[in-house]
Amino acid sequence: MNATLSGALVLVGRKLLTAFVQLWLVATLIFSVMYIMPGDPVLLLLGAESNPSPEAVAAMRGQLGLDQPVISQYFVWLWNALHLDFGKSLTNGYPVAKYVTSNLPRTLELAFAAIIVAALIGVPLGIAAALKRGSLRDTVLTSIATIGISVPVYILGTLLVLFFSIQLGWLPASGYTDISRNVVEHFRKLALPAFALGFGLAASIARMTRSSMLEILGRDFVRALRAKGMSEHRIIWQHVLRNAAIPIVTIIGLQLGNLMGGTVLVEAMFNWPGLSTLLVSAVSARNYPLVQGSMLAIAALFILINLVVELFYSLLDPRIRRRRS
Amino acid sequence: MTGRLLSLSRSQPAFAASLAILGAVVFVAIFGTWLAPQNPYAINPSAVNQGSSAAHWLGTDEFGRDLLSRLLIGVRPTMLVAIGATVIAGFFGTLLGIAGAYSRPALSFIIMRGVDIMLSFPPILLALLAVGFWESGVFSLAVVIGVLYIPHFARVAHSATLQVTRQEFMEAEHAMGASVQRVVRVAILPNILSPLVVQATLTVAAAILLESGLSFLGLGIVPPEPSWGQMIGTARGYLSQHPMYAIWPSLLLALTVLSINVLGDRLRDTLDPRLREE
Amino acid sequence: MLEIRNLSIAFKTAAGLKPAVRDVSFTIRPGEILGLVGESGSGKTLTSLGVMGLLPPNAVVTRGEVLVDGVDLIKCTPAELRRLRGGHVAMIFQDPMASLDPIFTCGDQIVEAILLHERIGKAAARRKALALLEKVHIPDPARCMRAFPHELSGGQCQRVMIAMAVSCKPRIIIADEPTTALDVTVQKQVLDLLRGLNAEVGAAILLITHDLGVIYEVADRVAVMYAGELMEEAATPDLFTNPQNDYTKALIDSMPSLGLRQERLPVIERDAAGNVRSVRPQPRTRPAGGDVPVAVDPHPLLELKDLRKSYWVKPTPLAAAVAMHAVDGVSFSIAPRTTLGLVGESGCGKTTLSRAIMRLSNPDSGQILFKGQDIARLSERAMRPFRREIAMVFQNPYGSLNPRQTVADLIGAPLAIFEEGTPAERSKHVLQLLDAVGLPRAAAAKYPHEFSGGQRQRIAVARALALKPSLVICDEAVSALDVSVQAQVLNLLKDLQVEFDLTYLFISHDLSVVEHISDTIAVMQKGRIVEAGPAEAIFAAPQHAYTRLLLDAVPTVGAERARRGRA
Repeated sequence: MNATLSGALVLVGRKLLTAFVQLWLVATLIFSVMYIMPGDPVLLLLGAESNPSPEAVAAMRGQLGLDQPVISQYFVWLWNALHLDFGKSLTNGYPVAKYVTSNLPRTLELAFAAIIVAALIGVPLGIAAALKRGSLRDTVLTSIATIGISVPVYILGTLLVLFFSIQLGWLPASGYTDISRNVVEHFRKLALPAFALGFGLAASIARMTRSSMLEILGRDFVRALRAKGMSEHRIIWQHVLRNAAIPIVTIIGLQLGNLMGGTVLVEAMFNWPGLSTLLVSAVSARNYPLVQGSMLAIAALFILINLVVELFYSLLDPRIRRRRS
Repeated sequence: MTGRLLSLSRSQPAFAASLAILGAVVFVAIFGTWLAPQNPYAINPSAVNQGSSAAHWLGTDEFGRDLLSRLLIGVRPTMLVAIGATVIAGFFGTLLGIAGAYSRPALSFIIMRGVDIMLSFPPILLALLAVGFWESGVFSLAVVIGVLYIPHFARVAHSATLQVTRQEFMEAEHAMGASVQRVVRVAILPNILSPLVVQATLTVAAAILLESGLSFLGLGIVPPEPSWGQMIGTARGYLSQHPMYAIWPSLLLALTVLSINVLGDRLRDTLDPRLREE
Repeated sequence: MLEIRNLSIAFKTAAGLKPAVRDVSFTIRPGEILGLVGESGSGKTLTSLGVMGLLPPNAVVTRGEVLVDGVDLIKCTPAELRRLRGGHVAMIFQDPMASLDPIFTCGDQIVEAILLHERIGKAAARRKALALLEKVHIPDPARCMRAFPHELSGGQCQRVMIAMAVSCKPRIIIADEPTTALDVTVQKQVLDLLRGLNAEVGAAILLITHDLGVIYEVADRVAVMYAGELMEEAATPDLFTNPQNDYTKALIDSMPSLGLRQERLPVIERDAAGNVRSVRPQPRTRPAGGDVPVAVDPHPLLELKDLRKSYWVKPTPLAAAVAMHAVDGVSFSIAPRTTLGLVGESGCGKTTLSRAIMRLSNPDSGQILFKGQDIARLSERAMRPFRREIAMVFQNPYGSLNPRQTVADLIGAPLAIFEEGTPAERSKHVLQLLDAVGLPRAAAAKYPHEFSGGQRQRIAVARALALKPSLVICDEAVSALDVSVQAQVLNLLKDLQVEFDLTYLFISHDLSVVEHISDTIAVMQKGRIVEAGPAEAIFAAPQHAYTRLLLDAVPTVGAERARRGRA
C-alpha cells in the first residue's frame, strides 16, 4: 500500500513537472509571437497610415517596455506573469488580470455545461449503437454522429437561434445575465450556447464510445466470460463498460481541447462575455497585453484540464496504477 | 483503385453521394467565376436582403448583391486555403513524424515534445493570434492553418512509422544493409500511406472549418471577397429579416464537410489492414 | 455424455455459405480425455466454439446436433445455454492473459465465476477460490487472489483460467490450444495439471491442439480433423502405431521427433484425385560439377567469444532501471557447412544473441569472429561487406516480408541494395532463386499476401540466398508453421545447405526440430550456454540439469515411432 502510494506521488509529481514545463514553453511562445509576426506592433497599434510622429512612437515604445532589450523584456514579462500580473490594457489602463479573472469563470461554466451535455448525449448513444452493431439503429446513430462532427458550431448555433429564439421565441438569442441577478435568466441564456458547443462534441464522443465498445467486445476475455455462462447484460455492464470507460474518459478529456477552440466561436456568436470574447476583441484592437494575458489564461486552463484527465486516467487503469510486487 | 472505388460507391450510396458532392464543389471552385449568373460584387441598394425571385434565385444580401453568385465564387478561397494547408501540413508533418520515429533518440525526443506542445493548443487560438497580427488572405491563411496542422500530421505519421518499425521486415532491411533513404522509401512510406491519406481528408475538413470559423469572426477572407463562413457571419445580423441568407451558406458548408468526413470514414474502413483482413 | 452428431458449420460470405466444418461426429465418454488434432484451418477451433454456442457472428451451424447428456445444445435457448456453460461445460482458451478481464483481480474473477453457478455467500466463494488456486498449484495463492492478470506470467494465468473452469465441477472441459502460448517446461506442468484434475474431478476433457506430441502425452483417444472433415478417430496408442487414414499417417510421419533422425522428412501431398498421401522426397543432388568433395575446414566460420549484451529495464513503470543480462558471456563456434542448433525457451536471450551477431544491436563486450575477423565493433559502413556474407531468415513469415513489395522486389532487395548487375540480370537471378526454393516463376509478380505461410517462408529463404551468403541465421524460422509445412521448409533448408554450401545458425525452442537439422547443439538458459556439443551426444546423454528438464518436457511421440523406424 505504501509502495503504491509513493508510486502514485511520483507519478503526480512527474505529471505536474511536465505540465509546468509545458506552461512555460507556451508562455514563451505567446511572448515571442509579438516579435515573430511581421510589422512593428507599435506602428500597427498607432495605425501606420496615420503617419504617427516619432515622439508618439517612442512614447508608445516606452509605455509597452519595448525600448528595453528583448531578453530583459521577456524575463520581466515572465516574472510578472508568475505573479498573475499581465500588465495593463492599452485602451483603458485597466489591469489585464482583472479582465481575466472576471471572464474566466464564465468560460469555464460554458465549457463545463457543454461537456455535460456532450457526455449525457454522446456516451449513451455510442453504447446503444455498439450493442446493435450493423443494425438500422446503429446506422441511424452513426449517421447522426457523422453529421454532428461535420456541422460547425456557428452553423448549429445559427440554426438553434433561428428555431428556438426567432421561430419559437422560447430562449434568448444571445447575451449573458449574472447568476446573482436572475438565476432563471442565467440558465436560459446558457442553454443555447452550451448545446451548440456540446452537440459536436457529443457526436465525436458517441463515435469514439462506439468504437472502443466494439474494440472491447471483440476481446478474448468477453468470449471467456460468455463461456463461463455469464449473461450478456452482465457482461456488458460489469466488464465491457468498465473496460471501455478508460478510453472514453480519456477521449472526453482530450476533446476538451477542441471545446476550448469551440468556445471562441460560440462566445462570439452568443455574446457570451468569456475569455475568448476578451481575446477576439483584444486581437481586433491589437491590445497586446490583453491578448497575451487571455491567451495565457486559456492555455493554462487547457494544460490544467489535460493534467487532470491524465491523472484520472492513471488512477482508473490498474495496469498503470498498480506496481508489480 | 478506380475499380475498387466504383464497386464501393455501388454498395454504399452515402459514399457515392459524397463523391458527387465533392466533385461538384471542386468543379464550382474552379469554374465558379464563369458559372455565376450575375456580377457577385454589384451593389444594388434597391434590392437589399430579398428572398428568392426570378432575378435573384436565392435572393440578395445586405448590399443587394446576388447570393447565388456570391455562393458560387465563395468556394474557391475556402478550397484553396484547405488544400494549400493540407499540402503544407502533410509534407512537413510526414517528414517530422518519420524523423520523430526513425532517428536518434535525442532528436526524436525534441521533435515529439515540440509536437506535443503544439498539440496542447487549440488550433483556432493560434490561428487567431496569427491572423490578428498578420495580413489576412488566402495565402497567409493557408500557411497559418497548414503550420497549425503539422503536429497533427506528425502524430499520425509518427505512430504509423513506429508501428512499421516494429515489424520484422524493417529488421530484414537493416540486416541486408539497406541505407536510410531506402528504408524510408521502400519500407516506411508505402506502409504508412493509408493513415496519411485518411489524415489528409480529415485535415481538409478541419482546414475548411477553421478558415470559415475565422471568416465568420471577420478575421479570415477579407470582404468584398466572399467565403461561406464570412457570409454566415454577416447573415447572423439579419437572421430575423432574411433567415435564408444564413441557411444557404450553412447548408453548403455543412454538406461539403459532411461529404469529406464520409469519404474519410470509408477510406479508413477500406485502407485499415486490420479491418480488411477479416 | 458429449456427443456431436453430423455437425456442420459454415461462414456467411457475400457469395453465400462457405462450409468450414462438414459432418463431424464424435463422442466423449465420462472421465476421458479426447484429443482433437488438426492443422490451422482444419476447423477444430470452430467445432469447439460451435459446441459452446460461441461462434463468431459470421459463422453459423448449418446442420447437426450437440448432445450433452441427451440435451441438444443447438436447440437450447440462450438462457438454457448460459446455465450449461460454465456449470456443465467449461472452456479454457489459447491466450490465457487475454482471456482474463484486465481491470479485475484474478480472485474477483474466480469468485464471480463461482457465484454465477452456486448459491453461496461471498466469503465462502472467496475461500473456495483460494482453495481452487491451491489445487492448481499456483505459487502464493493469496497473492494471486489480489493480483491483476498482467501481474502474472502466462502459465500462472492459464492456471487461473483452469481454476475458474473447474470451479463448478463441470462434466466437460473444452481446452482450446491451452498450452500453445506457453514454454515447453510450463506446457508440461499445465498438461500434468489437466490430467491430474481429470482424474480427480472426473470431468471429461476435449483437448484441441495442433501438436501431436501434446495429444500423445495426455489424450486417451484422438480425433483427427483436416480441411473441415473428421479423418479418423481412434485410441491414442492405436493411432500412433497403426494409423488408418492416409492423412493421419502423413501427419504423423512429417513430424520430426526426438530419438528418430531422418535425412528427409516425409511431406504431405495431395495427388490429382485429391487424395492425401505422404511422400518422402529424395535429397536433391548437387548440380553437376559442384560435386567436389568438401574438405573439412578446421577454422570455424563463426566464433563467439564471451559475448555480452545487457538491457536496462524497468520492472515497473515507476521503478529504477536494472540491468538485464540478456546475453551473458556466450561462446561457441560453427564449422563451415554445418548447422548449429541453438535451443532455449522464450526470454533466454536467443533472439538478442542473433540480433547481436547480425549487428542489429551493438554487443556490450566480447568478440564475434566471422572468418577470423572480429565484427563486434565494426561501424555500419565497415560492416557492409559482411552483410553480404551473413543473411537471416526471420520467425514470422507474415511480418518479415514488406506487404507493399512484389516478390521480385523482395527477393531482389539484397541485389538492389548492393547494386549487383543490371535490372535484367537481377530479374533473371530472382527467377533462378524462385526455382531453387521450389516456387513457380509466376510468383515474382505477386504480393506476399497471396501466399501461404510456408510459401512466404520460402520467399524469405530465397531472399536470404540472393547474394550467396556463407552464414544463414534462422531465428525460429519454422516455428510459426504447421507440421506438414514445417517438414517441407526443413527439407528445403537441408537441400539448400548442400547446394549453396551454407552454414546455419538454427535458433529454435523446439527440440525435435533442432535435433532433426543440427550437427552441433548449444542449449541456452538465462543468457548463458549451459551445454554444447555434437547433437547425438547431447540427446543421448544430456549433462546439464536444464537440458534434461527440456528433454523430459518434450512430449515423446518419438519413442513409439523410433521403435517402428528401427524395426
